[in-house]
Amino acid sequence: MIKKIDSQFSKKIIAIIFGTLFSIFLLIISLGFLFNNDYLQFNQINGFSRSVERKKPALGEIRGLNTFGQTFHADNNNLAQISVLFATYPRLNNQEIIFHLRESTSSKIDLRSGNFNAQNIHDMAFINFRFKPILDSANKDYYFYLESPTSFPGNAVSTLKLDANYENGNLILKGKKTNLDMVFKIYYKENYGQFTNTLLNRFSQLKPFFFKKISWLILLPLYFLATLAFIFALTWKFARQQKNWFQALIKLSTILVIMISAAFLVYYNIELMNLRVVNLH
Amino acid sequence: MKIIRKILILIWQKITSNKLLSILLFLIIIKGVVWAGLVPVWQGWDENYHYKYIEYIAEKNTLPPQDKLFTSQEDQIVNKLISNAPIRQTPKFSQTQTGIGENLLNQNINRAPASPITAFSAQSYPPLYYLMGAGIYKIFYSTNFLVRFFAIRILLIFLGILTVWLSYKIAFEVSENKLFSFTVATLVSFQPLFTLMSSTINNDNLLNLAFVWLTYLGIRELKSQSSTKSALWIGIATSLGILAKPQAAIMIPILIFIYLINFVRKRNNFKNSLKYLAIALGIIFLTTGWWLIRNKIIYHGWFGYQASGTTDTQFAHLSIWEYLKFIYGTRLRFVLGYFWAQFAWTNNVVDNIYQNSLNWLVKLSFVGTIIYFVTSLYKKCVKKIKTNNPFIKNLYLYIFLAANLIILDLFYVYLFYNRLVTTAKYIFPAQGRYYFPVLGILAIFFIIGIQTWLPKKYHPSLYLFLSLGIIFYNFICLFQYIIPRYYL
Repeated sequence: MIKKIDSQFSKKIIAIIFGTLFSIFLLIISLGFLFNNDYLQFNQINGFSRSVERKKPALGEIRGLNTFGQTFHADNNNLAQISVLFATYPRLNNQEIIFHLRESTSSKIDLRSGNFNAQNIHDMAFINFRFKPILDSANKDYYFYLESPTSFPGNAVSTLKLDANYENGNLILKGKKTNLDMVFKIYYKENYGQFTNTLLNRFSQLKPFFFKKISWLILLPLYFLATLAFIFALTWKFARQQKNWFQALIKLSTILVIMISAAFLVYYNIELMNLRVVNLH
Repeated sequence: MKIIRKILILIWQKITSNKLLSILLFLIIIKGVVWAGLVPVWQGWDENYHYKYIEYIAEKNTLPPQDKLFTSQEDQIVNKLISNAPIRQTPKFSQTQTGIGENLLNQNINRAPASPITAFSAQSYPPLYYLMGAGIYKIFYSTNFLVRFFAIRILLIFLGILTVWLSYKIAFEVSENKLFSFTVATLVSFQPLFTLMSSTINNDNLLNLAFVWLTYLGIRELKSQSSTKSALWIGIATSLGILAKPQAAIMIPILIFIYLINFVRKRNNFKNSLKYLAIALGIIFLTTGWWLIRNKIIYHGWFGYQASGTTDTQFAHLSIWEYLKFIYGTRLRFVLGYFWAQFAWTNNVVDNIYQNSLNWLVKLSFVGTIIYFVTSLYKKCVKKIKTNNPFIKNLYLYIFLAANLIILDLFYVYLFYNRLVTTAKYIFPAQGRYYFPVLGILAIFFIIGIQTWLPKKYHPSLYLFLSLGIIFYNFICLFQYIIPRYYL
């Protein structure tokens, strides 16, 4: 009898440990994806990513004297990233592209600049130009442009035209102002606290009173807790069906190891496929 | 008071009798509310059109005309707030400036549908789901659009919950194994696109429930003696489907199939089979006949007004062989993509590694399922082995489930062929969500197909692995794709 109770007790402990481990793993994976690379500590102010559709026309090849730029207004301090949507026509291009960030179209001084190879660009994908934050960027106008002196017809990429009007800037083609705009996004560096706060504010945007900030602070943890409870109950049911605690331990460990390995493989694959960040200096 | 007390005691007894199922159902409620709150307005499939249907019934106290779509001042303000194009979200206001847009919705706005704009086929759908939505709309009538819209989303989550519960019941009837049944229920409830579907406004939710209910009743019917009572319930379940979506007409051949199996298995004689079938069909006619006749008189078609689609001549002259090649190449990829990975109209597609891994699992499972059927038929019919293994003992139930799947698929193939190739009038994209009525059945065969490759002692581990796997995939979809898509 004692042996039986001990066995049940051991299985329960194992189920609790593995249920908790599975849940922690789930939490890390979920929040990891939310706070990782592109989005980590960055706050995007405009909504242009949402207007990106496959049918947007490309603006033309970036090559020789064909430079493509955009003026914009920064609302906040710590401007830290500009993302631009590229098209590859779709073919393999392999020439160097240079990115410049300046105060205005008339300025000759690069605040930030850097180059990268066009072969890193995926068709209809954003490239993120990341740089050391500009601390006092709030309420200032800026201008960025792309050039590729070595590209030639048939071996050049393009950026895309925005299917809307961006009110605080214009597309600059070959140094001349147009009435068009480029598809781009602006990011500001934030700490984790600010980022979480921003995210909760966004969750509350265009939502009724029961989906405002405070509700998310209750709902999301409750969702995780309910998931934890279910995972624990499921693990416990599984453990009870095993002959002894050792068998339960071995099987649950194997499942956990397979899951963690699969997650790493997936993450590695996604990172490998997305060479999207260009660090400027 | 006594009745309420008795009901509460009964609910409590039910909860404590199957704790794991209760925890799962509670989790599904929370998950549904979280998804309903995180997916922005109009981001379900054609959600704005489904909502307009509900709005029309609630505001005018009558069904809308099927050949016209009406808009109101409120619709226009909402569309302005979220974008000019209602389906794809391009927020006018910065997401950080909470509350700016919402103030516009708190003003005195005219909600009466006016100004017909264009025709759309959602208006011709049967009204049952929309009547339920209109009831909730009326409860929250004095509130603003956002409260009404999200209240409808949240309160109709129960349709998805019942679908999961019935999927569990079906799995338990055929497998007699609790862990297997929980795995089926978890696979259904955490399927990311099913989660999205059941958390947004769409009449498919009622169709899914009706179909899975009919499947459950069919299994009960096949396992026990037919009765007038069961025929009544079968008729009601089918009516529920037909009053949700015209595609539910395919439930009638399935209903006939149930009585045919019972007749072939000599559980019913010919006379009784006809009697029960007549009862079920009679119920269907009594409950849905008014709708069909009304459509025939007003719109000259049993299923109402049919909007003319775009002409696509690309497929108009395909031979049968070319068409079949198209179906099992392009269409299959299309269906699988929409089944696992494409979130509504958002161009939000999960990375290839997930899609490829899941598609490989589906292929592995498909072959495994074929092996399962061949070996089980051999053991049961040729070797005549008597066994207590439910996967062999209940083979006739699995054949019934497979028949449901095949009948539904052939129906879609017929529609696809009819619409796309024969008339070339309207492209009928067989999306993955059209298979959600048989999601529970797909989950059952998905597990059976994979477990065929493993020794029996590893089956419980497989069940746990699949349950945890689909929970992880659901979380990944929410945190890696849905939230970044709308909020980052």
